[in-house]
Amino acid sequence: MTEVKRHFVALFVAFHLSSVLLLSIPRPPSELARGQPSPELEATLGTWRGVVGPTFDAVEPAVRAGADAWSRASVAVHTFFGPYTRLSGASQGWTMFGTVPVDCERLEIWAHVGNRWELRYAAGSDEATWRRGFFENERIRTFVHGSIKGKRSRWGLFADWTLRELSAEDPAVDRVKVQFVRLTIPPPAELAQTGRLVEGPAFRVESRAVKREPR
Amino acid sequence: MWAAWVDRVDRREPVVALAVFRILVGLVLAKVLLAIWWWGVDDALYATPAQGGLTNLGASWRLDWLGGPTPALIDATLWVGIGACGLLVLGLVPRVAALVAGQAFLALNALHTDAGGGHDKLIAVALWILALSPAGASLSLPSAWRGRWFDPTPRASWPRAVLWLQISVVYTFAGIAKAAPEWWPWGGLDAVYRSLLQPHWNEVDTTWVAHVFPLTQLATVLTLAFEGGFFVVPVWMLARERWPRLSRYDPRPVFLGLGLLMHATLEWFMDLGPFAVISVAYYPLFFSDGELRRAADRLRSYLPGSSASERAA
Repeated sequence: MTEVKRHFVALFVAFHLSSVLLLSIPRPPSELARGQPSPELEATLGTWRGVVGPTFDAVEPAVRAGADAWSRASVAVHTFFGPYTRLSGASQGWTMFGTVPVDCERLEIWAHVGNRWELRYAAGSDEATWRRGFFENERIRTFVHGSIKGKRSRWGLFADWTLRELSAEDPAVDRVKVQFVRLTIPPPAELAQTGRLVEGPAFRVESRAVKREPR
Repeated sequence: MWAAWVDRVDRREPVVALAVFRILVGLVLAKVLLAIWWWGVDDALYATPAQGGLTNLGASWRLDWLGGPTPALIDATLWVGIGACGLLVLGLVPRVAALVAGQAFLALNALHTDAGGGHDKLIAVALWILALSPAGASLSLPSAWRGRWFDPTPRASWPRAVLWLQISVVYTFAGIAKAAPEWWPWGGLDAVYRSLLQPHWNEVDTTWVAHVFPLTQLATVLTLAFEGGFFVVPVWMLARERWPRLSRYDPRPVFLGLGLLMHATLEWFMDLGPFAVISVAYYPLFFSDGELRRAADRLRSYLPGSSASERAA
């Protein structure tokens, strides 16, 4: 290896490792950095306040200032390494179940046939299994639960897609309804007794009807 | 200091762990891409509503550069990616294959950056480093044609080091990110209990974990200790070069054993995509060629037909 190549490789490895380390440092929650109100953040801070005691109140301003400083620095770091990570795919950011909420949900797809609604897909169901393999692919699950759930326009497009696909497969279907059912993970003692998650109301209910051409 | 760094990066070793890693990464990505095709995820996720897809697409500069994400181009990208994975596994033009597979994967992922997970990053970064590495020198068709599966020629060792540092960073920073109360005693240590009960990640009915809640609390503690403490492994690997006496206190069996336990448990109860396999695929990289050979020899000595003297040796 020529001397120039040795230095070039060493420079590249230093650059790559710098990007890995700096981009991995978790960004503080934006509410903490910007001092915006957030019930979830306040709950977490409240828990830590209870653990640390009065010292927490003394250091809290420094924590918020530090979060703000790192947040600004983090933007600069991401901007600097951005072209490299976009090309290489070496982006970072690791939480791996950093927060695990007790509130979750189940996706349901209903089809209207004749004069009744039929449950065609429900996550975890052994009976309502329309395109189960598709909906259980990790990409689709992440997309449904992590992305389109919170975006009304995208959720509407999902309802449109469901209508197209279901009615193409089963011409008897004249309407579809997509929704989530709120589920809550109960405390262990309660779950040991009931054997099931607490079921709540349906939300993000979106229905679509097949437009028939007039005869 | 710079000269020492250049010398460190320039170190050489026979390529064994990296070759194993190359094969595993190729298999993992091939499975991911084949599942996308098999379940029709590509038709739904990588197409606009006008083309029969789920929602509008994000910007993918690679696909834009090739004329835009038409269904034909999506199909071609997917199958070129699968083909490149095959070449990578076989060790044929492995650098080009890794680069092509990685770029095809990134091109598709860019259409929906919110339809994936950390495992995608682990796969992408692995392919990027493999494209720059001599990982095809062993356990490849060309090496077999040359008459030896394991090529003893010393080659660049930095790719292996960069990759074991990568997975160490993943675990360590995942541990640092766990500030939520459910991971700590004052929050009830119920993070693993909650995780196993998340319905959209569940593989099987796990409501019975309520009867073994203390075990899930122990798993929470072990997970936090494993991830938050994983930095010990890379620190030890670097420190033992300077202080060889530290070799006696090898933390790898403990941490990698815990990692296997954690990933196996998650894999059994939950479907997290290729997260477990791609993470564990990085594990052989923590071992040098000599260490892997000694382990293989020891295993071989316990196989039927080996003599007592071999075992003693």
